[in-house]
Amino acid sequence: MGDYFEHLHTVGFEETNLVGNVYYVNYLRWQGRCREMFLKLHAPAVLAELREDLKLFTLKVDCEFFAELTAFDELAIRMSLVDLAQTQLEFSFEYVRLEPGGGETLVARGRQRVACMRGPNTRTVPARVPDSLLRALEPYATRLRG
Amino acid sequence: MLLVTGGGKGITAECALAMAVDSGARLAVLGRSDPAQDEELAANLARMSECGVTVRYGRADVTDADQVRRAVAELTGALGPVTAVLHGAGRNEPAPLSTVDNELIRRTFAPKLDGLDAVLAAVEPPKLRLLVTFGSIIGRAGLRGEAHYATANEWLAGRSAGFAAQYPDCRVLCLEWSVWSGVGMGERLSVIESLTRDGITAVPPDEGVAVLRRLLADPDAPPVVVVGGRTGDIDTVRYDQPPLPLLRFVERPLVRYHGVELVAEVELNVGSDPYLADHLLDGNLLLPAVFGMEAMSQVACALTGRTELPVIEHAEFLRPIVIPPGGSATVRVAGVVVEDDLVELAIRSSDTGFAAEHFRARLRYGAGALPDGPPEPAGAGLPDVALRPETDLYGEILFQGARFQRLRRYHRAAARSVDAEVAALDGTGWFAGFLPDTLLLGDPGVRDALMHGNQVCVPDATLLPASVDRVYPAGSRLSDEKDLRYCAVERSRDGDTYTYDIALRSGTGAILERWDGLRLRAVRKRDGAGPWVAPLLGPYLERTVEDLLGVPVAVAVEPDDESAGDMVARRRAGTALAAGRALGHPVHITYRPDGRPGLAEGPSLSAAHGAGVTLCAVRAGTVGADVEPVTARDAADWQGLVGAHAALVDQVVDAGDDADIAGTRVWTAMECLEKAGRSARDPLALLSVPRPGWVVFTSGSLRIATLSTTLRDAPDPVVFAVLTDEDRHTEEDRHTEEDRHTEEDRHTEEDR
Repeated sequence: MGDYFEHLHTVGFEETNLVGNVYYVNYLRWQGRCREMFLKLHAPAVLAELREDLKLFTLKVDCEFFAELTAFDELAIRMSLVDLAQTQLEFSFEYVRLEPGGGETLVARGRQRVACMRGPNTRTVPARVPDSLLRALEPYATRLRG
Repeated sequence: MLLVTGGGKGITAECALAMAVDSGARLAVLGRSDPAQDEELAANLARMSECGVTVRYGRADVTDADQVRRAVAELTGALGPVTAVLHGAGRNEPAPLSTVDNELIRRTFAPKLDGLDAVLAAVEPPKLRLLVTFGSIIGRAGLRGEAHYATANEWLAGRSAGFAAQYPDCRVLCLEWSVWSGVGMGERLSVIESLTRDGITAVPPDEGVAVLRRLLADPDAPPVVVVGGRTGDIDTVRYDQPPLPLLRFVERPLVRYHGVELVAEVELNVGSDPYLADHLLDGNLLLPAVFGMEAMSQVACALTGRTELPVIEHAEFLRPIVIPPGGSATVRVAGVVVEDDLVELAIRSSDTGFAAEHFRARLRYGAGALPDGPPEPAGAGLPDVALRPETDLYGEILFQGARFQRLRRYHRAAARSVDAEVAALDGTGWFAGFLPDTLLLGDPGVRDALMHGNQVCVPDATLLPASVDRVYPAGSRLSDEKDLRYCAVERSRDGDTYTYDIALRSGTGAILERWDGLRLRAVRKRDGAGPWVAPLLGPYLERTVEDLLGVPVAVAVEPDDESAGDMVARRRAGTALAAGRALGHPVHITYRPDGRPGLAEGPSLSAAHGAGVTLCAVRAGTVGADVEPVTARDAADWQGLVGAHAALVDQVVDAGDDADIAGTRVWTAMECLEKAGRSARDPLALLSVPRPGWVVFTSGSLRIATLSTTLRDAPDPVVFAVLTDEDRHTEEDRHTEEDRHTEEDRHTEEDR
């Protein structure tokens, strides 16, 4: 078990473009999916808070691409916590293709910055990162430097 | 008499010396070494004597109770009974836990624990008034390879606390030091470099001694105290970490020791901090000084937990904090508590690799009430200045954008004095919605106006803040106050640096905020070519004429009021208003039979009308003023107007002027001579062309400075002229000026 949360995905036709490789937009969708699955599996309390008044406000998303993916590639998306501030946190994502014969290739790398907010939709204010989220992230924060 | 163990060298020697010097106690030092063989020990003993301390050295192994008893008996015989003990002896041989055996434990415990017992057995504990023991933070936190040393120190702290309980009349202080830099165990074991890598900082000797002094002077100090620098990532030390307040500039704490030190970091760009877009100067976004002060206040609040308003002292804006318009910059605000009520802060930026201080200040808490007093608002009786800040200042001589545009109207806009109304606006939207929007000091827009409102005093340059001696901020009292009254006076000027005192009051006259000694530096200087709005030309003429002719003249330029009756009535109203502006209060003008205006008593004045404005110059001494629009005339017409001075016109043309401007200059100079009671036919000569647009003439002891410029509301160029005689007092004034500077320099020296 490394210092990341891993989400596995098999590329499907719906994610490829005319010439057969993965359309770039999907990489960002996978970041979102990975984040959701992390919350579902490790931080159900945060999901409960999201149903109350917590909002995870995405401030920044980026991705750089090193290699192409095509349909039926087996992919691991690995999320780590790289910055933790009072109300904001930043995740890094590594997109790794799992080769059929073993071994893996880094195909892309991304980041995502999130602010925590609370309150009704029209008057949200910044809020501290919830304790439940901090606890859930603890194992994935070893890359964090204070 | 102070008995010291382990005190010949290292930190104990430094502390023993400080204690002896402070208390006047005689010093008895116990140690194993022979001063004749040990140069460092001999040097330290010699240094103690040089400091005026009566010091004796006794040889004894502190772990041997008999040796200690004999040595102490000998020392007390010479120096008197022991009333204080400083037990600093210790032995640290790092070793992996697996190799720690009974022998190593015995060797390690012996000086710390047996040594303390031996010393206390050799003196009379009931007579002790002070026992200081030196432990180590290792006793509390542990350290790799130091299990035995850690235990010895933990037990020492326990025995010290036990002695305190047994002898309540004796002051006991067990100091658990972290590593010292330069002297001490840490240095000997060369651990400092490896500790620094772990984020641990060493205590410098001077600071360590200062801490000891502070603890000795503090009757509330507990018997066991940890003294250390940063402890980095050591997980075994727990600190008081109350939650930080949610504040914009405290977003990411990098280093935090609550109540001691806080370094916090934020990334700034136009999206997160949209006010930056309203602070664009020469293609760069600049972090406004008012936000620098807010950022420092936020970090000081988070650091100390104090929520009352501080007074900002000695704020310096050393380098601009530049944010590239398409990018971002990371700024770090560092604060450290230096006294109970005083925090020192500095701001650094990624723009300079965090290597340079951009802003710095000290924040003092509990400084007392905000003092009232000058600068006071201008008296009643004069109408508002004909300046509309939203069109005449912002976007013209003021670069500040919408969020900072708070000047509403001017009651006075003179070269050295400003009285204006400013508005506080809640809900300005300083930060992006996902960031905390609390502001501790109150509306930054108002505060920025206190700095940029002075721009009317120096309308030919951009004034940027350099420093301020003291700011008493208003905080939330500013909230939505629409008719705030802002007064500033120039205290002094040194070249391009202008110093102001500022007061901000509510609509009802209650003092809200005060700035002492705001220094503004003039940059981006422009020539006087215009086009000018009339009220700003007065301060410009006043400053430049004083610079060029070396004598003070109050000058005002007022746009004519077209509604005031016939021409004579209009001109007389214009003169009265312009003279009132120049003097700062309403005046009654008397007219001689020839129509020349004057004041019933006091200084002389001269007024002129033309190009839709009235020019008025006032001074104690000879004065003349004229204004003429430049009109195209042929050579014959100019010949007719200037008569004998035609050759002078040619000279001015040769110096670079257009013929009509040159003719108009000579003509205004002749008019000034007439107004000063001389004749237009008096000799007139070109003295200098000191600056673009300016030509100075001389006539005997008189000087006439002329400016060719343009007015925003007049189509053609206009020439303004001011005449003065030589100032007999110049020499004397200069002396006074120098004396004052020396006085100021001395203050600055002391303040440091």
